[in-house]
Amino acid sequence: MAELQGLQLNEGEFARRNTDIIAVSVDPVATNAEAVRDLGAAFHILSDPEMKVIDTYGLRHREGHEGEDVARPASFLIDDDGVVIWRNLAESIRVRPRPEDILAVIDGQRG
Amino acid sequence: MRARRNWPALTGFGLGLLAVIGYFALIVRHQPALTRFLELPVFNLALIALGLVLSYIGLRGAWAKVQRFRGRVVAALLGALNLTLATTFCIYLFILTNNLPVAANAPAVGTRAPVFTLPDETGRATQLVSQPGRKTLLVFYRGFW
Repeated sequence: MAELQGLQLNEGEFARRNTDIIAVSVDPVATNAEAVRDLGAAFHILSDPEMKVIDTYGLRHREGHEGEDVARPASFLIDDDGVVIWRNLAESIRVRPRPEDILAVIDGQRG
Repeated sequence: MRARRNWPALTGFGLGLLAVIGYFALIVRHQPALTRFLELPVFNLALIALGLVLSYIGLRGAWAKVQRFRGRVVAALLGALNLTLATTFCIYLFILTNNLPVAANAPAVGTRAPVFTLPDETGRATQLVSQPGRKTLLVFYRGFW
């Protein structure tokens, strides 16, 4: 949640860099509607309760949340050819990439 | 004569309690402003260390001075509680929150990100598509909002 808040706070900076943010979790659509409202999020949160995409990306965390399977935290920066140009696979649920670090990566990719 | 209160033992446990409660009540609740301290709560860990030192001083004091039996029990009990609290917190911090599975099959840098379609928060099918001149930051998170 804190991670998405941090992204929302920097949403304008991502927009200026022509970067769309897309979030994915196991939560159902209704929960994500609530989350988007709570956050005032300008980006979309996608719902993957069957974990199809989460499995495609190899991110299933078995019994990661009170006995339920969830996605392990992970971020991917994808360019306009659909190629991954940066990724972060969190090692701790407490430590996520900082928005300013991701913005710096985007800036580094330019030119 | 009445035995004086064992202030180091009491304060030591109090500091430990304050540090742990403070972590969850203050730092965890004030995100992303306090991200740095969520990652490594240096002040809380310092308070815990100080609390443990005080517990030890209290324990030594209770044994060194001529005191009632009760004073020793209280000092030992508070010391044990403080140590248990500190250990549990450190286990939570450095082990429990670090047990994420390796993602050996996650798309690597330089490879194509698998395309997919999923419903957004309004139920509208949304596709991960590449558009000329635009990048996408795809963020997977644990959910359970």
